[in-house]
Amino acid sequence: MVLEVDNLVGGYSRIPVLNGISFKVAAGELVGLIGLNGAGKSTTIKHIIGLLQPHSGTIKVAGTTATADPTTYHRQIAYLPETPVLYPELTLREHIETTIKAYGLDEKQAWERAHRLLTMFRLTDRLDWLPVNFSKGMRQKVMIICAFITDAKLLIVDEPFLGLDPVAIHDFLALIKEKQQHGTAVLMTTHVLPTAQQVCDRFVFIQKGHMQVTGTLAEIQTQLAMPDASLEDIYLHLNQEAVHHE
Amino acid sequence: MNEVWHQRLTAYHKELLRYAKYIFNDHFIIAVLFLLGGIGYEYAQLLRTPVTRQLQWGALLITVCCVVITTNLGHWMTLMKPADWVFLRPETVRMTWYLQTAWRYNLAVGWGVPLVGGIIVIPLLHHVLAISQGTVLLFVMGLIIMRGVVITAGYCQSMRPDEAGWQKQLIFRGVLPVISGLVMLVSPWLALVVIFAWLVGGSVLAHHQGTVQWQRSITTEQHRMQRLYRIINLFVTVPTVTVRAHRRRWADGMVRLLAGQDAMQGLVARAFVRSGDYLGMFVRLLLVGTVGVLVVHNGWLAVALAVIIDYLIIFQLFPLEHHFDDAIFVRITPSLWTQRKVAVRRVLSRLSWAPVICFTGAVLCGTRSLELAGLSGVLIAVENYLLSAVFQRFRGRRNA
Repeated sequence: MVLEVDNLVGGYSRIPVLNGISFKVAAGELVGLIGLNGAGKSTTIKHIIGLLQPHSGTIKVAGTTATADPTTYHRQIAYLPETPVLYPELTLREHIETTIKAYGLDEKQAWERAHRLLTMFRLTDRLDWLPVNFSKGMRQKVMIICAFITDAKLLIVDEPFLGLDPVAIHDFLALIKEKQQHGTAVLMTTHVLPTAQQVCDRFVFIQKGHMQVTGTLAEIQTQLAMPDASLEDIYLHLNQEAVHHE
Repeated sequence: MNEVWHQRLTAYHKELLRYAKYIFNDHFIIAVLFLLGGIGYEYAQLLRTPVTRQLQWGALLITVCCVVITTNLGHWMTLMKPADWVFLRPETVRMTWYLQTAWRYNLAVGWGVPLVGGIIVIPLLHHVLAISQGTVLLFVMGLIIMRGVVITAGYCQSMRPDEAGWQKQLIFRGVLPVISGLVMLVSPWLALVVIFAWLVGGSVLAHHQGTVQWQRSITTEQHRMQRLYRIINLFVTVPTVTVRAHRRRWADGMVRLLAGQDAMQGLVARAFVRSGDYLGMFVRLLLVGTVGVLVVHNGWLAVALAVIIDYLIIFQLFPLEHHFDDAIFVRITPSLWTQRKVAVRRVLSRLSWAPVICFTGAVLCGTRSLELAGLSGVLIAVENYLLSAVFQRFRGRRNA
């Protein structure tokens, strides 16, 4: 297993927002983390990437925890945030160089990967521009490039499709597939359920910081006695119940 | 990581130097110099007066204020950026070295303010409170170490998972400095030993038991930079200043008073009360000016100070005219866009009564002279008319 989240309890303050979240992501697997706004998806991700400390429970990436070996732990994770976060004063080239240094990558190999991605996203002639002046979609592409040149074992993507044009989405999904074939585990949050249904191997549904269901689409259909239900049908069904319980 | 720190520090200094030339060319600085001169003159006069019980209590109060201000002026600086937790997260361990470098830098430059503050109160301590020279020197040393404790507390916040709530902040930044300052006057060596122990304890906690708190550190640094940019924005437009609006229901009466019946005037009034730091700056300058004028007993000096500080207050409000430059709705509505200068003038005219009343009252209380108070009232009113009706009409806006 690349990612093992075991009984995670945590949140932003002393009051926990997540209550006993447990799931795993194996090498080469793409798991979709699904839930309403405010369900706890981003909070879960922030715990995995080390931005928040768990109140209890464990998180392991490739067998190591953030406390045991922080450098190895963090270098195993490549993160693509929902909103592009860039340095206003760094050029595109300098963003790539920073990523190479931070992850301890081989410079030649990393730049080969970068050039391939720059060509794919049509950013080759923007290397000496300041990405902070790019459009939102272009800034998102910069983040994708920086995440995908790493050789991290776990790729976490938070709402990756927002702001990307259809060609870029197609290219992005192809890249994800390629990463999976190389053994990278991918954890993805998204509200674009038709796409998630097509590309994800398994799903983890969260509601109000609690696990709802987890498994492949077929397994979830069986659990909920909803044969032939689409992911969207399941999502609406699960969240309608939650609303009625309030 | 040392290289990253030094690059960022160089860029930071360059940026401050770039803005400094606008600040120090501004009339604000001339006005501040006059204010400081006036207060300095009164301080010198105070030291020549016979020592009374009242004066001693006043000196003690000033000393306590000095301790609190000098230990808290300026904030823990890390130069961390929002993108760091995406791009530098794999360097979590080396980031702790970065923060150590930042801590050493903050300590190295942080001694200036308490030293100056300590030197300012030395005459008070020695002459009024009859503190020996040796104790006075130890007091100044204590201020410098206390500043180090506050800096180290900031460092701990960047490295420890437990967040210091407002109670802990109040204790560290208010209560402890006050108690330490008072103990330093009575038993300086004991106070120094205790403060130094805090400094060492804090640094051990951060160094040996800490791990980088990315979100808190980045947010703290962003707030620090925004505060700095907002001050600089009073003199020159800073592109990165994000203007926050606050509802301030308690000031709705002031909005109605300033807004009148005109739509654009209403917008300007609301911008003054709810947006950015216009209201806060106006009130602060008014209060500081009133106290400054009140403590100056020399009549003509008090009047001159009142006129200068009033100029300062009104001048700082001129940027209101450009507050809506980026507001699409205002630009495309002719009745709003073309009326903005007039609207600002009207709001300034209404606001300018506050300094007239406050400073006239302060001159009257400070000098006990009706003639001087009347003169200052007239001078300030005329000045405000000239500033808002004439000068503002022709003033352009500087952009960095």
